[in-house]
Amino acid sequence: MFWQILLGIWMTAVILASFLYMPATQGLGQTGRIIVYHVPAAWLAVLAYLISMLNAVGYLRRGELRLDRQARINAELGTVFCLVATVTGAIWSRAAWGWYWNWDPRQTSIAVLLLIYTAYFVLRSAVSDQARRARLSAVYSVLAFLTVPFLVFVVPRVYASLHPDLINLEQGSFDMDRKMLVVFLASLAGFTGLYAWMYKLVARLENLLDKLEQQKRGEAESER
Amino acid sequence: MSDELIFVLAVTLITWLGLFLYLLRLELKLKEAERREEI
Repeated sequence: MFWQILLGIWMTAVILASFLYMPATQGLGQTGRIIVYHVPAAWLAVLAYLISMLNAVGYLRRGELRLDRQARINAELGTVFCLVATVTGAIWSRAAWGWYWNWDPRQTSIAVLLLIYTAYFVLRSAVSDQARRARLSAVYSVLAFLTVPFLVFVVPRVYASLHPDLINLEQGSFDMDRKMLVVFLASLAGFTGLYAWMYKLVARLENLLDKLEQQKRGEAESER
Repeated sequence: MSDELIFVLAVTLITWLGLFLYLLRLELKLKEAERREEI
């Protein structure tokens, strides 16, 4: 419980700092503050999809259903954070570009990514046999993740985009004010902690539900 | 600090605190359920 309370205080401090300590961004004005929420959400989407893919590979090698479940939970969390990144990006787009959705390469690639992972859940819900579902969705998860680096890192840099870039590729550094960098990194750490907490909660909840199911099955069999 | 910015700060804080309290409640309920399971 200690680290959860610490996370609560940490994120509250990050939110306050993002408005009261961090200066307005040069060129983006007050709307630039969204970077503290938008980028960590996008980062966590990529991280969760990566962990989902690693668990899927683990399942294909070892065949443990536990790994299939971990892959699914991570894909779910990845999609939640991907949606947060999309919504915060659209809010920023309304302020900076005049409308929520402009089919900018960044927006298009994140929409494609969301569709790819929505198909993952559709696939899972379409197969009733547990082992078959786990095997098929593990293969799909690996294939789906292959698109992530292209859609998140390559496509928006290959095509002309209005989306601001944090990383200065020529100098290999962050294009950010020092105060902003501190708040941004603190937010990145806080969001990662939030993700870890959410993952643990969902995994524990599903374990309990599983046990309840087994208990019910055992009781039904003993009644027969 | 403009009124608009204060409004955005307030909405962000309320959203975060709402999510945080919800997760904390879930954590406590899970702990209780796990404890019962052990018994």
